[in-house]
Amino acid sequence: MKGKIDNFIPTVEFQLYGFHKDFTKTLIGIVDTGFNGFLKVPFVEAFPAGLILQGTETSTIANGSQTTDLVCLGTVIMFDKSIPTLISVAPNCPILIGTQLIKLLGLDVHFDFHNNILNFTESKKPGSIVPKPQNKASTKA
Amino acid sequence: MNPQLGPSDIAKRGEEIYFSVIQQQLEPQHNGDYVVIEVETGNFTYNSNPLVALKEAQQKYPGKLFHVIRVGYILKPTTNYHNLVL
Repeated sequence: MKGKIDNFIPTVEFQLYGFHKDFTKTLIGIVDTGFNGFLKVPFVEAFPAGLILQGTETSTIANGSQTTDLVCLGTVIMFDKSIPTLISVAPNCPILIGTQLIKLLGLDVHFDFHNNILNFTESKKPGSIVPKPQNKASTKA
Repeated sequence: MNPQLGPSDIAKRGEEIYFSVIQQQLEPQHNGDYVVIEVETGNFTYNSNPLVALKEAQQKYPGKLFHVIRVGYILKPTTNYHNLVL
């Protein structure tokens, strides 16, 4: 379970969908240890993924400033772990993976700056995890 | 849905309710929990798991949009709702 570190920016690939799996998008997010939320994505990724609008939220970000965003419901899949979560959605923003999402996925993360690798390991005290559903083979007549 | 309320209206009302009613009830005992506010009635649910609080709110007020705040993590009403201008 690995991500990358590019020019000191840690990133990892994950999948995201909202109301239906058919709209699953594969995205690359920045692991932001200064973001104690779950996940933040821009409109251009949120709408095609079919995220479900729940309302708005006010939160404080790492620099101490306060922000108000739309908040949606969606499912994140990372390293074969699947979890429904709240997702902040803003008009323009980088894709940010917050520390609470990493905890919720039951993962610990280690930044290996010498090899530019982000190592994820199973946490010894995992958060509540919803196992990824088994893929069932489907055929169309 | 709240057809007459836009996102910035929901956020503004939610923050008003939080600072006028909820803050004194939940801080600091429930700092870190998530509160989900139904802004038309002022009613709210809270839980350490935001999805649990949201589900409870949805069951009470199906089809509504809510305002979510992490208890103890905001200090003042927001002055700029530019992220909610659609």
